[in-house]
Amino acid sequence: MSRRGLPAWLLPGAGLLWALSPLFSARPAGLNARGLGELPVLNEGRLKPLDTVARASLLELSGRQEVEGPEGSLDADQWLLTVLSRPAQADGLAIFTVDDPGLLSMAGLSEGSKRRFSFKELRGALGPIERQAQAADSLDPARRTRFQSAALNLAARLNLYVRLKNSLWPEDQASMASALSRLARQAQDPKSAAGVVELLRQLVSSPAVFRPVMTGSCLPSGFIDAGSAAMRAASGAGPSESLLAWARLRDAAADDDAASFDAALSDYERGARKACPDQVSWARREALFNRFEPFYRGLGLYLVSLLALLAGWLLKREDLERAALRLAVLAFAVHSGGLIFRTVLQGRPPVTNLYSSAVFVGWVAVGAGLLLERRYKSGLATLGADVIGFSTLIIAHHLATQGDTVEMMRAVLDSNFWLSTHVVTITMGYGAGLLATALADVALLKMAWRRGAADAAAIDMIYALLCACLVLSFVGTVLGGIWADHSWGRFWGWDPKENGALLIVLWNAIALHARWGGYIRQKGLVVMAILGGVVISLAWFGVNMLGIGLHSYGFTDSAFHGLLAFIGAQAALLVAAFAKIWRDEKQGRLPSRGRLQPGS
Amino acid sequence: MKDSLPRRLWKLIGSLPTTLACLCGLALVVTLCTLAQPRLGIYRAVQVYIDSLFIYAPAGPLKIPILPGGALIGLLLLLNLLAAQIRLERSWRKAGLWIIHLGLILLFAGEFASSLLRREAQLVLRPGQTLSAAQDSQHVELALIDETNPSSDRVYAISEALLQRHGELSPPALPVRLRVHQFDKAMQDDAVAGAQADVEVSDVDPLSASGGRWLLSLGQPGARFLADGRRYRLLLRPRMTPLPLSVTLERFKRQTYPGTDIPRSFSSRVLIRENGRSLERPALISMNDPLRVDGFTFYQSGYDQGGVSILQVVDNPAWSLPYLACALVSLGMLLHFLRRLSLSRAAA
Repeated sequence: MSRRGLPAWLLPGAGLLWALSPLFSARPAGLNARGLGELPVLNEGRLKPLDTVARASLLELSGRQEVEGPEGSLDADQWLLTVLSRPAQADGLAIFTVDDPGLLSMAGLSEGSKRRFSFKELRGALGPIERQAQAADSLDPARRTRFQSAALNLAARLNLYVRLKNSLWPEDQASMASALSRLARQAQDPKSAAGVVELLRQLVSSPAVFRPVMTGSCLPSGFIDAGSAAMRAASGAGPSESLLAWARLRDAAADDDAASFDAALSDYERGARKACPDQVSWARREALFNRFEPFYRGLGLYLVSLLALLAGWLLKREDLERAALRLAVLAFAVHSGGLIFRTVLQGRPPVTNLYSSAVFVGWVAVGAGLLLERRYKSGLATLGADVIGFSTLIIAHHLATQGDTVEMMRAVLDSNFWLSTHVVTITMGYGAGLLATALADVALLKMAWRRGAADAAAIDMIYALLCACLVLSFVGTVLGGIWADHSWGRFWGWDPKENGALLIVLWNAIALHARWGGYIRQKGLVVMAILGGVVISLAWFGVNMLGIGLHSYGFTDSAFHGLLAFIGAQAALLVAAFAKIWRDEKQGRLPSRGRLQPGS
Repeated sequence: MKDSLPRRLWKLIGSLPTTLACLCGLALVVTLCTLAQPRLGIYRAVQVYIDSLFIYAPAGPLKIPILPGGALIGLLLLLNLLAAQIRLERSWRKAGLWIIHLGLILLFAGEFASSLLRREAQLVLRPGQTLSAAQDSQHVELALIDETNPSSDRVYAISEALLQRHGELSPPALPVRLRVHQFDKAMQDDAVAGAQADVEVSDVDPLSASGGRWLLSLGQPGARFLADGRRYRLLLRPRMTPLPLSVTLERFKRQTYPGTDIPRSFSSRVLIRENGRSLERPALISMNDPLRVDGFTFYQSGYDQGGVSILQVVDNPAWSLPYLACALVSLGMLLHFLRRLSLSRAAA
């Protein structure tokens, strides 16, 4: 093999090492925060490892998964352990992203190079922020000013942080164990009740973010918060084994005593595993999944594959093109692994909310792209797959800043059969249609700037994808109608999401009928596929913004800007490309429309 | 030889450009309807854009039709499909397309049939309450109830359409003569928000009520009077649909996930007694799991304070048509595209 052939294996090899790197990463020194992160707790109705709570909370507060501390950076688990055991120290960590200049000046902070501020820095302005947020809360979301939305958002984050600090035990109680022994004494000697009442009042005044204490039952309702556990202890039962174990963990962490922390942790884990082996194992697996971050790694691999492919085309290096295909396959494997794990973890079909729909749409599009690449071998389908895989995972990444992405299913949607048929089919249709859009974008660029007809392979692929999108959208829409008829007694209700699905069907039907009748040819099909992507994006995210109907769940402001950017980019591409094509036609550099080869 | 005008027209109706125009028009109307929904509510938006022949623009007192409405386009598309179907080549090659188009015709016909035949009403049940008639949330009626017999009432119901005509009402079955001076109804979010009727009864016994003319409002107990020695009550109420059975609510249950407000399930435990049978049977109605009895389907639709359960009752004789239509279209698409795929494979 020549030296030039080396990247064909080197790049994918490096990618594989990177994907598997969490396996080799050593645990950070000091307190075993990672071990604590693997313990099961109840949060938002679901049993999950504390690690998921830590990551989701930190993402929600700061938009990142790490915090810069005075002694180097802390991961989410280390940060949460600090918050729970040494709240005064945690208050000094800069975790609140504040962009709004009005808010900054209200808090007496200067708009320097800093974007993140600590609780300590914001503490002085808690009152005014809360008042602004209350005023904003009473307004219709569309009528809030940018400042008001920012104030509301910051107040919610501050509230979450304060609740989190007090989730295990009131923050001003230095030692949890001594407080518990006071409780136990009070149970026998009612005369010492005075201080205890105040403690209990504190415990129940702030609703805990998560419920850590096990009571013996392994159902979600068998996990209670520390406040309820303390109530039980005070009512005569005495502190439970599980509550005492959490006290040992918190106190050892507060003293920075790694040896006692480890001992308390392994004690707790042994007890928990004996009582609820399945729940403990699943929490551990989920924490491992979190550490692998398969969608983040997939995102990186799609990007590298895309760059390798473009470099290969520019430099005319076939080895880079081969490397790109292998990287795309690797990224798809990582993406699939993450998807399968999530599906098994939740015991639900792959699409249950907006976040998982983004992951799944990307997966379908990449899968279809790789299948097409196998047949056409032009690299074009790989390019489309990389672009869609990368963008959908970026979308998912942004949607993940709103808390845990494995949510419990609302009663209306609680039907595995219909979720796995209707929702999965519809989202597969989105995937096929968006891949067609990506291919059409590339085909149009080539037509305009490489002067000439698009290559037949691209047109064939777009055509096949539009057919697939029509079938999947139609079948999916109809299945949705059947679900609605079955569950609510109406087949079709002109709900915005239903209309969105219908528009995708109509759009593809128009494109294909126009093609069959010979009214559009290559260019027309390409344009229809590009605009089809706009229709899909509106049906997918746009209709949620109308805020009415049965499907109006899970909408975000950031999605709105993304949607506008996507539509703007497609429109700009169409205008620029056609301006170029028409100018070239006028100057006689291109064969005019009539002489283009007719479509098959 | 030149075709005659009807023939040419028929050809135009069945042509592909007509199909394309209809599909584009439908896409436009659906888009407009969706965009209007936050402003008008789903029910009104569908009335204005979809269930209408034309979409009007108000210009002072006049209404000018500016666009064809969903109903007109749908009708045209149906004709187009029928015409195209008749002209379509009858061969195995086109079998997939045939089936798709037949399915689409059936889908349109089915939606049309169910919009005519489908009836929808609600049961609002307190725990322990028994009902044998469901109330319609979109229509009201004027009810004249003969309460003379203490063991059973005799109800004369006058529909909204008759009330809207105003004037004298004296069908032979009605024991008294009624005159409607005024009738108004207000809708909000697809449901009746309020209604009023100014009604005069001619044969009222002057001792029992003064004047014999009342302003009735929805939700109020109505007027009582004597006529011809019989005791009557006149009231405005939601349109009632008698059911061939009675439903008793035993318990409504709403569950949330522990530690959250996320609803996990809604369910109502009911007792069903079909008319003419003495035996009651228990049944559980929950979200995504309705109860079907005697052609009626009962859905868990909502709830209210104090354990009140709201059930939706639907009677739709045409319910099976969309299922059949969709099965046909899906089958046709599968056939058509698989055949094309295998052809292009063979060519490659």
